[in-house]
Amino acid sequence: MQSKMSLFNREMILQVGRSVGWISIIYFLVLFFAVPLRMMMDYSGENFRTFMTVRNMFQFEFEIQFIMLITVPVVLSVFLYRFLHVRQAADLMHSLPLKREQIYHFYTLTGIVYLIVPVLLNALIAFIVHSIYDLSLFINLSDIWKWAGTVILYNLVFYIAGVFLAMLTGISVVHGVLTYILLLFPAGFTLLALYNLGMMLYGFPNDYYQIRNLEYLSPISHLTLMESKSLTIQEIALYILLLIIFYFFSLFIYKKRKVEAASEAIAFRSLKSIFKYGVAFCMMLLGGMYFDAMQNKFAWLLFGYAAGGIIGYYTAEMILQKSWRVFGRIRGLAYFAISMVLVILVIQSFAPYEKRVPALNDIKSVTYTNTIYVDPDERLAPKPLFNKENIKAVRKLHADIIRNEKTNEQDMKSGENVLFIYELENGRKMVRQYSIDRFDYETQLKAIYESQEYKHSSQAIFKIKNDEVRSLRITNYNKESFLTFSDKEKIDQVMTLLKKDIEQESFTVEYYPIGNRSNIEIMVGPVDSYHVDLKHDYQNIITWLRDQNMLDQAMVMPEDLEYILVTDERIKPDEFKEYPEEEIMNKILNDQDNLKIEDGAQIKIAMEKAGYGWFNETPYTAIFVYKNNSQREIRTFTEKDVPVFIKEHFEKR
Amino acid sequence: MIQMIGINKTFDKQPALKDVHLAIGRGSIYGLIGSNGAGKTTIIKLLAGIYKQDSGEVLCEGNPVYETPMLKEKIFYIPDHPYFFAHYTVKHMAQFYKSIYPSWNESRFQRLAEVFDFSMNKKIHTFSKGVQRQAAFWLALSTMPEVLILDEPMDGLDPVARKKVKNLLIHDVADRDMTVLISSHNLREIEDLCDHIGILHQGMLLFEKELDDLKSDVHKVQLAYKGDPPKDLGDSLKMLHCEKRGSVMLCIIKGKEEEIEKVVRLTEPVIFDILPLTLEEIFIYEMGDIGYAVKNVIV
Repeated sequence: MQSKMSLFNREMILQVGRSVGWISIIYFLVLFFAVPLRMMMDYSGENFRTFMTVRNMFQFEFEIQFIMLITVPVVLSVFLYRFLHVRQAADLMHSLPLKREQIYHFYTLTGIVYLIVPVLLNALIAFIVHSIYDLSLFINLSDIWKWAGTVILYNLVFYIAGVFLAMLTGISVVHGVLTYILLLFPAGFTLLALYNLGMMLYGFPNDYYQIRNLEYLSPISHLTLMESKSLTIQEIALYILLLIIFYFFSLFIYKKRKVEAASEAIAFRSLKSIFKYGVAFCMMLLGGMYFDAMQNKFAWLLFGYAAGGIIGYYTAEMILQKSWRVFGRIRGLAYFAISMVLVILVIQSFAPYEKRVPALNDIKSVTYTNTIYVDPDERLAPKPLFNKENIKAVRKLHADIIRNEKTNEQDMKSGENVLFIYELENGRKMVRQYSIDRFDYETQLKAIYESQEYKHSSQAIFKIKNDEVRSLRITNYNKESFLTFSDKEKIDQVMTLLKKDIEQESFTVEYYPIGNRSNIEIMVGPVDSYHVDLKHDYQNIITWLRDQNMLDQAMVMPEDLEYILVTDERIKPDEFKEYPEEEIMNKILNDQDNLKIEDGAQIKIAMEKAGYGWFNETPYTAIFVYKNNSQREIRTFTEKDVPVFIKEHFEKR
Repeated sequence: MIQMIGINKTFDKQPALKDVHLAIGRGSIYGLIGSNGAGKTTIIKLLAGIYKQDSGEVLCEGNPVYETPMLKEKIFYIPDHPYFFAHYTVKHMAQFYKSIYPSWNESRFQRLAEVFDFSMNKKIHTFSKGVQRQAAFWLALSTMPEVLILDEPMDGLDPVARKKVKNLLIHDVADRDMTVLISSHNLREIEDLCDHIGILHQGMLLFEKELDDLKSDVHKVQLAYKGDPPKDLGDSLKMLHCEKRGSVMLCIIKGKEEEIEKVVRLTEPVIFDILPLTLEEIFIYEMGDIGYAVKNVIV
């Protein structure tokens, strides 16, 4: 006898409609207000000022669309499959003369209809609005279908994830929560794993990996990109493949599922331990990450692991037992603790990983940098070094950093991340990342930074060809006028001299610039611009500017200063935090013992030696008072750089 | 018609049924008696094709019930707490069942409207528990099931409704050979309805019997003798129980009535009466020691 049930059973569709139809209606209304109505509002008669082209339809109220896109499909799946999680409903559904396959296909597909009809209707309305208002100038018709397609695809991805979880759990709240956890899991777990490996393994380059498209690992974070990007064919294909796999995998699980699992947090016994120890493990990693980020001490890291692991274990246990009185169950926790200690010991004993510096002959090239680029082929990204001498210098720095593992991060004056990317002769790559204090490695860094190859590989200006430059603009931060070059020949001269000066420049570990600097903005193409400092010791370009009678426009000159006041009082870092700059200035201005410099030659020397090391507690503080609008500026002199006449003045007293 | 062979079922490592064998013939009304937690509902949900057994077979007409829509179309199950879709009226539910059960009988449904005097257009969840249960019967009987499975069906029904429901059931059984399985924790509640009884205790089916057999097989006899009673009385009769109150003896004896009478008459008693025996007494004496353990179930 043929079963009477078919996919178009009106009563069953009504039944689904009675339980989830309201979601469909809300979804339709919100989408309608966010998209087609917004189009009408933006492009109707009086608002012509807002008439502008949109890149895609997600730009209409993206936040609202985003919230709807991530909640509606999951909520729908929760209500749709609620009958699996309520014992009596489960009994009723499964006592009917229907195969589980029929129930599954029917419910899942009907749910899809209730999910996508609102989207299709809104696309249709948008289409009508588009033709009535004739919006072809601002929105392409294909944008509307692209939008509808993307929305439907994401709806289905979140929805099928919800259906999949419906089969695995027996409690609707757990169903919702676990669905989001599943959707975020690939990205979240990768982040946790990378961060923790970074803490456990000295030199593990977690930032280097993290920056590599982590947001593509979760459909939720991927969706956030949709306002500015659209899906590629590969991404669409991958999502569709996942949809098909999860659709049938869910059916497979449903057939295995026992009806009595309703109201169990996890429907399958074998999954319960995976859930329990999985939660404990992830919470352990999270605890470690939190306490490391907050305290950055190994003891706190261990505390974070212990606290996270225990909290995670008992939370999972509470969810499974549906009771908070689970603290007697200590045996599982003990097993977990022992195995985690073993895992940590194993990872910690990866000495070869931490100690390894490739042999000179194995290295094809090395990129040494402190900025990480997503795309190493990008024009400004630091390029690898091939010269054996330079590779040797980088290797030495690397080896020294490893040797000083224990002391590297103690009493840091200023920390910076450094990254070593080795390209090995055997085709492999080796990447390490460290946090170091550059003052500890001055000689090693000098060897690298002063090499021509490094300068050329790391500094933007060497990657710009002179004839690409459209114009140059020099700003001196004090005078209101700019110096602009747009003449091809002049541009070429400036660029050549500037490159020469930078090639000759010597390395300094100081972060804070000494002396007044100007900024050169190099415009390339219609939008790209690069900035380079013009320093007072760039002799080639300074001489050229002087010859051209443009130096006083390009740089701040001694004549631009009214006078300089110097005191030998340090400013405490707290003072900068607590008092406004004005108050500090007044304090120095009213100081009876201060030294006033008005002589042009002395001003010139002082200008070249004054830095900006406000937070470094330098022994001398100065106020520069400019002629232009009586601008004032706080400057500092270090013990090393302070001009002799200032030093003598204060010593005589 | 319905058979369970060597059924085992555990819930989260807790055994619920242990090696249960059970057989229900077509057209019979089978009463499943057991205390709370004995496994009645588990047996019922296995028969209704809701649960899947860990081992053994649940057969209807020789085929497994689980995931066999063709068999489940003929079976209707009313749970201990009847459940309906949220905000559904009897009529909505009727339309729903109609779309799923090919044997749905619309005219029967309409005729039953006269028996059950509440509106089919009111939301079921606004009804009292008893009325909800009657609604469940209304819908169930309209699907014309060949097998009707009832879990504690008399709970919450008043005596009038009980009678009404019982009459309807008996009518369907007589009329079209419907098979009924009724579970109850109280034997008295269903003893007038059932023709077969099975007793379930701690997941095991202790006992399965036809009621008529039982009743004609065990007798309560009141005896008195001048002087001492004959010592060999117990040898010639199958005495299940015997107690003495003064000079009067009260015995439970197994066997045919005429045979007992013949044997006893030979001993020339002063008083000899055969008294009626309630069903509970039969069980208690029949099952011996276990009978005492389940006494509270039967009473």
